[in-house]
Amino acid sequence: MNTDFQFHVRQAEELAIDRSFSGDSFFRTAIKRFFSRRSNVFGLVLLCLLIVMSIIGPHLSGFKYSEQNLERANMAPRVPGILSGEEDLSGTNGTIHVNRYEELGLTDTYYLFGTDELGRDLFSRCFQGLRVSILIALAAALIDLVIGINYGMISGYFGGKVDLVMQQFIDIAGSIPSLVIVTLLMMVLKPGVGTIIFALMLTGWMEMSIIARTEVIKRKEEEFVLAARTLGAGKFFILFREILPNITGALITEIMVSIPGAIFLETFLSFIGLGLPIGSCSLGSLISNGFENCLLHPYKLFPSVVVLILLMIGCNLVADGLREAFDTGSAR
Amino acid sequence: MKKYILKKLALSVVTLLLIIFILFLLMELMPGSPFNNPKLTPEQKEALIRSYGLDKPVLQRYFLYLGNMLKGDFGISYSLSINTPVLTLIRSRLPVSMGIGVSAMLVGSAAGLAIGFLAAFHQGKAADVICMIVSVIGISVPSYIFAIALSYFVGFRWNWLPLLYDFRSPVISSVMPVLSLSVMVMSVIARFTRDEAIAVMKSDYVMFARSQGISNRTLLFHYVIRNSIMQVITVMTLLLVGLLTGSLVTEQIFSIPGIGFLLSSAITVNDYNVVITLSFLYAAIYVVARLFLDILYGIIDPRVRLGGNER
Amino acid sequence: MGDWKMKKILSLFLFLTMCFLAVFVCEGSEEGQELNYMRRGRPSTMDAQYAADATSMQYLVLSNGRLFQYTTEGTLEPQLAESYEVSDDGCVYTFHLREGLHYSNGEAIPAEDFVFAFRRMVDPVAASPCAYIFQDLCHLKNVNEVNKGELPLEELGVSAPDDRTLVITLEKPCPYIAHILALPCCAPCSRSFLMKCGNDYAASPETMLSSGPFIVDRYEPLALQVHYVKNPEYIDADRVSLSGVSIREASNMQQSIMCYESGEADVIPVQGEFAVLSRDDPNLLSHTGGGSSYIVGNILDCKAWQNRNIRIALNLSINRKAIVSDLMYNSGVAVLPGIVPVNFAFDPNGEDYVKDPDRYKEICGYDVEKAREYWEKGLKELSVSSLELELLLESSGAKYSEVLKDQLERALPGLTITPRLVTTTQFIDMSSKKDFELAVYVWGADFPDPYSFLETFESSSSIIPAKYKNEKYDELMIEASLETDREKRLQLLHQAEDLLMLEDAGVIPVYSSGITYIINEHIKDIGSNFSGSILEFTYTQKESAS
Repeated sequence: MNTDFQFHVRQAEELAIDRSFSGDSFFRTAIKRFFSRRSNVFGLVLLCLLIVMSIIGPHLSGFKYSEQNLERANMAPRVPGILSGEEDLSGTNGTIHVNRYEELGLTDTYYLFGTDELGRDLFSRCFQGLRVSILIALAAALIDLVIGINYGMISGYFGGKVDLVMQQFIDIAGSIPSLVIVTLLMMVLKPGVGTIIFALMLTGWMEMSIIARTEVIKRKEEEFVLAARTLGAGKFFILFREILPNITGALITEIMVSIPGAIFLETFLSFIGLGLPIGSCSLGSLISNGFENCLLHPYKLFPSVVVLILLMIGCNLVADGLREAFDTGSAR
Repeated sequence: MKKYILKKLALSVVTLLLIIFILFLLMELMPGSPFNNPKLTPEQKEALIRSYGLDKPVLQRYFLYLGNMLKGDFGISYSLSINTPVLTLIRSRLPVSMGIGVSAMLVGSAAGLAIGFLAAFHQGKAADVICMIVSVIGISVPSYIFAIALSYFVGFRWNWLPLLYDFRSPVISSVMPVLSLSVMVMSVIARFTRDEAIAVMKSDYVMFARSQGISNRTLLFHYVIRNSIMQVITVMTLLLVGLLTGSLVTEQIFSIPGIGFLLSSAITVNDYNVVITLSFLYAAIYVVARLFLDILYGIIDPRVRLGGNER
Repeated sequence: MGDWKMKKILSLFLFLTMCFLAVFVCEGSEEGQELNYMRRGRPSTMDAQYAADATSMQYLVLSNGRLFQYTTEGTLEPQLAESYEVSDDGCVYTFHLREGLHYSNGEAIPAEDFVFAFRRMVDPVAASPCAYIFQDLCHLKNVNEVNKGELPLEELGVSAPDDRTLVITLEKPCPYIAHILALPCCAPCSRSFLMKCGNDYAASPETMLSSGPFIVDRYEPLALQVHYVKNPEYIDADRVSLSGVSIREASNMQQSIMCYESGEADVIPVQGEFAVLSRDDPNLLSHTGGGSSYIVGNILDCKAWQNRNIRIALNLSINRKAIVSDLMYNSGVAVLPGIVPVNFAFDPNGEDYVKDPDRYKEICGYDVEKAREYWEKGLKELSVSSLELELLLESSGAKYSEVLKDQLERALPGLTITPRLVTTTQFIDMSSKKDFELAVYVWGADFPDPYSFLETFESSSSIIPAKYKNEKYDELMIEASLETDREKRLQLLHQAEDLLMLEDAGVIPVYSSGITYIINEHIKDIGSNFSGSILEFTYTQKESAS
């Protein structure tokens, strides 16, 4: 026992206000929790920076991302004051030192990341690729969300036979490796952004629906649902008006989790030659192209890989933060 | 218990049959004929198509295929390697992929478990932060980037290890592929182990045990590992399936004669039987892994086999 | 208890490390002269009579002895044959085999085994892709009838009067027959061994029989790597100095270069920038003109391609020099002046078949202004203001298609080119179904004669259908194939090419390619065929590095 323990008489106004639980909404607590960790903030800033660059990046250098110029192929990066645009090329008998800028007499031209073998500016291409990859991943995640939520919520809410059949379907569909589905689809359909989104969607919605179902099962016996039911609300009203807002946190987290997965799959497909059609560029096609040349011109591989890794780190950190903030760790 | 296992088994079989049918339909949509030699005359092509039974209706071909499969005959390769039974193609490659996949799994999970527990025991301290930074990077960087980096520096620049897989020296030449694949496993397992271990350590019984003055090491072996190992095994099983299917690019970079490489080659030349058989193999591995987990859960946790189908 | 456990784990760990080190040491030792060769592609089959692609042929050349083999100069010399005679009309060849020929299992090789191999290739039941060799390249007597099943196999124009004599009867003279007989599919095949192996024939080293300098030691279907050891039963075994050869697939240029520089590969093909950077390397081995790349349109369905002015406009707007020097880096690649590459075929006096590379300049030079004139004329005739054309390519030509699209669209206002990249399978399927507008073809010659390229434009050719049809061209080609005087024959071929290029402008030639290898300086005496697509290691030597 603490013998120094003494009673105080509190001031009346202090008593009236409960500051620590002052009616903060669920979201505000989550946001507070999210920003309380430095790594989350770092991830978010990283992600925002990349998104901004994906919007303005392709226009910064003054070279269009698709503009070919065979004469200026394979120029090494040149940055005022840092890189001079020189590179060492080694064949099987000796190394030669070149500066393509001087050879072509370009004194005032700066390709910050260099050019590819068709003379296209890699700076513009890198961020254009980033833009395409983000858009693909975002589109796939949103479509996943729509299908997955509906499927999962209906399955979870109705339960019984409906649930059994729907879950059995997921079991079967989920047993086919996504790689097989995606590659087969990419071959059947014309290669393009639409096809890739479609293929990603086909394999991505299942996870989303599983999350939605688990969340619905957790919530459907709670008091507010019972209350609504007693008041005579319809099944779909309860599902979409009462339950849905309460499981948003889990779903937002799941979107953030599925985006890196989609980006991963896109780069993977491009790497095995089943990605976007030629002419367009994405991070995956840039990386696979850079890889083919990285022994002679490592600068072609480097920027796109770094951007991809930063993007993935950003997404993963934010996803982790969200999961902790909404406390949905059990859902995965 | 028996009833539970039988039910799960029956469901798995139905799943596999349906998967074969779906794969079969997908393959029907594939463009191109499997006989792609430009030097073949149309008559020769027709003779080939007839001799392989490709002119029969879809349904008939499906049952033909299913029947043969029950006999263990997966058909022959049409164009990848003319007239070779698909089973022969897979038989020599599966052990290679399996060997590399399982080694990557073992190396990765050993490292992952160590890092995960280390982080959990020093939660919030520098060790924890470093471990978690390592695992975030491990998850964010695709395994083929590691493969490229390894083969460039270790294989080419420093010339320590062979660049490509060579069947004359299989162990030495699979060190780099195993390492590059295990980074992903390590990171996933490390994060998972850390979360699980922290959850267990926060639980009432561990708190109680600790308050009784039980040492950290005993705590680790007796409570934490025993209670979180089940979850870790689940993750490991699913990761192993992922490793087998996802090692395609790594197999390309290191020229490993495995099933991933076989699949990508089969897809590009429309070798129906090879693609169907391999996809079926992947699906079967997945279904079997799930069955294994279900049964394991059934044995360990009676609530699972009695209470519905909630996962 | 914990300590004891830790000790157990530690000792287990130590044990595993020791095992690993033991394997490390064992694997490190390698004896004898082993040659490591990397190239693109994998063998599609090891059954010689089914091997119709250059890659499979390369893998089979080592273990299959033929009548002729490749020399270090790219020419031919007898291998299993001792001598041969030709009849006056050039249609009957009589070969005498060397004495004491044996397979790797010790059995003798009778001439009858050549007959059996030839029959296997055209047997309609076997449906071998190699049948085209006797149908299109050299016309073996009765080959088409036998292949359709109208005549029995015995009627094929090949016979063995005794164990050491082989007689080949042709329908038309074939001056380049030695090149065909040097292909591994023309190697002998033992009927008794084939029967014994049944369906497993040539599926594993145990079911393969070698008649050449090496025996397949390790192979599995679709292998990325094949290992050979020396064949002690080979007739010239004492002249074979390599103890083993390993051939493996390189997935790209960079991989081969890395393996070459780190010593894992002794022989690699090089192209592109690497070839330019290494052009002064004394260890280069170059061959030119073995293949050509050209664009053709679908003459049946494509309205635009049916118009001669449009064809010429497209032809004139391609900057071939830029493609060759900036995209392909000049490495064995040259501008294709007509349909036959420069430095590829030579007349009896040793002069290049292509006498004047600028002969077709009016049609396929590079002149944007003239191209636009033709373009305007063509558009007026078609009464349209713009055109959209789809360009079909194999997926390996992604870069190439981007350049073609850029050049064509820049030169011709109102033109939109949509490149369509497909897999090889799809490409062949679509082009044989005539499901394309424009298509990029890459064709490799089978023998060093202009006929090899020109025959693909015959309307009866099964190789690349639906792109060109001109009865006069067909007549000239038939006339040329029957002509025994070589000078006259070449003249007829020139006339046919003029018809195709000048009068009809029926094709857009782009570039011709060759093959260059880098060979480790310790390796000597590698044989190769005329185009360098197949290497022969019979007499190759490897000096020890020290």
